[in-house]
Amino acid sequence: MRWGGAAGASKRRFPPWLPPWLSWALLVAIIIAALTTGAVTTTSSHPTAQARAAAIDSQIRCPSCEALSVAQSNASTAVTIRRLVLQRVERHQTAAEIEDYLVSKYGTWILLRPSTTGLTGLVWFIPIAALALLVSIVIVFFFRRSRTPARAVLLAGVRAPSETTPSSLETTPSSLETTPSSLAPTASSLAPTASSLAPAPANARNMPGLEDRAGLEDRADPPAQRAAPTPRTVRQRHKRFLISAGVLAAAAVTVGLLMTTSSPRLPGQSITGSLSLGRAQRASRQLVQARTLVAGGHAVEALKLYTKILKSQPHNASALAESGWLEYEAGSEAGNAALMRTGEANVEEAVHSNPGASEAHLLLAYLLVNKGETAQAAAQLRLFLADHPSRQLVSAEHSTIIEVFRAVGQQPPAS
Amino acid sequence: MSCISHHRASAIASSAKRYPIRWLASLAALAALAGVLVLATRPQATTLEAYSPLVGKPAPQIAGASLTGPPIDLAQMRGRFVLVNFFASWCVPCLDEQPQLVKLASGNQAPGTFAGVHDHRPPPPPPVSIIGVAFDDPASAALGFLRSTGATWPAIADPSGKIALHYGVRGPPETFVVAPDGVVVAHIDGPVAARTLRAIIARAAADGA
Repeated sequence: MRWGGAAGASKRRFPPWLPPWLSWALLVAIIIAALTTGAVTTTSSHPTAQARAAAIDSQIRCPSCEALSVAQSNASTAVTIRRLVLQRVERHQTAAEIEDYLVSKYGTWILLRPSTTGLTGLVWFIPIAALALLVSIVIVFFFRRSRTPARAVLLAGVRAPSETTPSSLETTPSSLETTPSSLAPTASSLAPTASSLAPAPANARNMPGLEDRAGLEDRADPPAQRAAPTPRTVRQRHKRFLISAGVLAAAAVTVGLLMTTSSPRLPGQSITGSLSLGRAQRASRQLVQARTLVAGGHAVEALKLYTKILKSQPHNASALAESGWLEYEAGSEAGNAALMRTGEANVEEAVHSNPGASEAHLLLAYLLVNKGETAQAAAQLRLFLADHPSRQLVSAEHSTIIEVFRAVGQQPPAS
Repeated sequence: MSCISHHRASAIASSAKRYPIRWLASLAALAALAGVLVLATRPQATTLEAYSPLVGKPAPQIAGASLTGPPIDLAQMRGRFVLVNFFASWCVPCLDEQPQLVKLASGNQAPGTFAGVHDHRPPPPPPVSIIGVAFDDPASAALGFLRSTGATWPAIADPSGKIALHYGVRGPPETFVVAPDGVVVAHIDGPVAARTLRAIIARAAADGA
């Protein structure tokens, strides 16, 4: 398909009463709307300290797990950094100050977002340069097409040989005079040879083929000898100018959005905001946020978030177990037996609703240890270890696991 | 002379215009060659010595109750080399490393201090102390681990993980060599051999650290 095809485009257009530029305008509008909606939904003028801390956490690499941010990890080093970030945010330190502190301890490696300086800065520069290059190519492509109507004229001449062709052939050198008239359109391919043998005659400008070839060598034709722009050509020029301007505007908006949205986002939040998050995606994002809140010591806010998750996914094992554990702990601290029972029931339900949830087994084991039911705790720990939990989690809980198995006189399973 | 050079320059320019792909490919090949040369001629890394922004900077403070005896204060240990060793009872490489540290400390003059290697070569090696920091490990487990490996140097628990964070520790075992003036001179990531530590300390002492 040819872009901006002059003859066939209007015939193919459906429905015919739609203006030809509408599809382009729609494309540009959709791109801009998709990008700006995401940017608008992700920004908040007064984020809370927890939200700010969570946003910073999402940009810091977990020192012991590397592929995760500290917001996504429950490794001890990640928990320590989360605490530090929250403390410093509450002391009104900026994200840059906190990141600088961590860089002074771990190096730039600790930042998930590459540095904008030095050799690493190329990571940022190359995509922007590539985008600029692409836009330039598109613009040059459109403008070159709009400035070379001769090619369109030539193509029209090939399709329907004009009456001027035979007469103009008379001016070619004698070697060409023998060319049969049926081969008239192919004469243009011989034109360079002819022009190299002898200067092109003045009236060769009237030949479509010769004009095109000569145009390549000598662009500085007097304006009077060029084909006068028809209203159709002018309209096409305007259309192409508008398309180029649209592409440029879309590129500018994209770059602008990349600049503004390069600030830290909440854990799990995409650059386009929450446009297409499914229920499961939303729940998993909320889980990460709830864990961040728990690590920061904000159990009440975390419980609210867990309740939200359970409203949409009543059998979410992680939410049930973690919220149950929080309730049990809170009940234990406040001496509220009813709350402790609720928490215990939630953890048990998590284990029953998803027997493969290793974390739920671990939390139930802890709960049973607190109750003094060590044998059952050991059984839960066996189930926990059988689910192939992460090495980090096992390392973090190693001493407790050993203690429980020792208490019941058993050997921990080899893993 | 200038005419010739001008002629050459214009010849190069016209060649670049005529064969742009060849010129670009040649430039890319030259850049790749330069990259290989830079990487290949870098000084060889000493075994396990790893980058740390702390190297060349004052060591973060370590102070508090010791697991094994009197309180620990890194600031009070100026005037000798100090090894700050992060370990954990659950860490298998730490089990491999401990005998090496015990071997290094075998010439102890006082608990946690040794005089180094007596190899009859002047000058005598600088005195070195070791401080253990339990990484993500309960005090009881860490103490049991130290006793089982024959370690006699002071160790400190780090339940909040703050010491590890101040030192930028990612996972045990990691060791920082602190010079007599309190500046970190080396960071070793992974289990370290006594011989390597001696070499690092000797190098730092020779550098006038």
